Amino acid sequence: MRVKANPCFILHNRAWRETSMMTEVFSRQEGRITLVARGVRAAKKNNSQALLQPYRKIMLGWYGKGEMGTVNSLEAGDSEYALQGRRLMSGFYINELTMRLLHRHEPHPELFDAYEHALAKLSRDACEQTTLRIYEKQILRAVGFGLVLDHDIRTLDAIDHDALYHYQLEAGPSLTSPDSNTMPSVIIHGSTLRSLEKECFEQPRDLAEARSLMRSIIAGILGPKPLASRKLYQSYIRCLP
Amino acid sequence: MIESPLLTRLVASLQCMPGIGKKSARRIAYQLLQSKRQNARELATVLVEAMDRIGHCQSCRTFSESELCQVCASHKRDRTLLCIVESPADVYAIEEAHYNGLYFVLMGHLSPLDGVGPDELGLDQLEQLLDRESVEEIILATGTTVEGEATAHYISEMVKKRGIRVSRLALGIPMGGDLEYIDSNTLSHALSGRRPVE
Repeated sequence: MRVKANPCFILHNRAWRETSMMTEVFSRQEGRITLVARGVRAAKKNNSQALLQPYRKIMLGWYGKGEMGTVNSLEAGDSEYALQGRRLMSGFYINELTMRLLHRHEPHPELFDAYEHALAKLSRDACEQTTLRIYEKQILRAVGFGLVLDHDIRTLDAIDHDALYHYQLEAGPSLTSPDSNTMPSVIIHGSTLRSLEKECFEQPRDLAEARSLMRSIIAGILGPKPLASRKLYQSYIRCLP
Repeated sequence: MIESPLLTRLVASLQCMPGIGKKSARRIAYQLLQSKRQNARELATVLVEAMDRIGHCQSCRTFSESELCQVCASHKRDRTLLCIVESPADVYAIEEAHYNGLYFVLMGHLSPLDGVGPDELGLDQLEQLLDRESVEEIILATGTTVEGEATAHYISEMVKKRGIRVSRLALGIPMGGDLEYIDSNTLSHALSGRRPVE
């Protein structure tokens, strides 16, 4: 199978053999795939290695059967996002989340655009936490775990801005408390749900609540292996003066 | 052709070296057996000795057979300068560029997806080194990959409270490089890091 050059982002690189690289790619056309880029780590191919870096859009073409393809064309794309400082750590996070949540060979062109949008925001002065929450919401929707944010799942009433809801991780928000032994839930304000829906956070409290809600939901989906980039981010925050 | 079992083992073992495939390994094995037996014996002895005795310098973590490597033990080095690199091979490269300060070798870079975090890079050992030495400037010479940048940023934040000057190796056009063949990313770094002609 040959795949013509199409827009891609690198999620993660690993050295492979002497001079090659095994790379996890998020392709707009093909979704998440693993490719081998032969010879790119050789001294003469420095340009290729510079292109095969996360956070820059590239045009990649490849061939191959089965799980792993081989890169046969590589060119710079039209955009590059220079993530600086702590936002590099956030970049690791969205890359790891994308790798862990997407299945291979499942195209998600809308999520690809959302991913690029998130990188663009992280490379500018946009609020880092808001950007991450919106991307989390979008990726959950793309992989079939979309959140209920507009109504109470029991009464079907619209979300009340000032009320406190029990968000059951696998179902949605409800004013009444679920049986906590069987249904794990997070307590959250209606305003947080509305902010997540509108993708605009006005209060720091809502942003903090959205963070803990997303953390619980994602942990439930990912299972026992935690996100390594989150651990790095936490130790980074601890070492800040 | 049927090879002797020992020769097959030798060929297989030689393939652990970088850049050596089956064919090269066989050529090396035959060459050693035919005309370089003495050199091969010497190689075997040195290999065993090196593997047994070379560990890590307790101060900078580079390869060393003594507690402190030659750089850390020397009185001629500028102890106010500390260069942080990813691997012992980088120490060698920077040494060639006439650097005269101390080093700290991370033995990798931050890469959460590969399970490499601050603990694996010995950053606590770096803190101890900074407590011990009177370092005035840290030169971050980690790679120019995303992981190298993140590592440099992490360390710069970590040492900020000490008030030590932190610098990063400059990025730009290689000596003798033709502009038309340089990738746009490197060129944009070279442009933003341009300096006035004196």
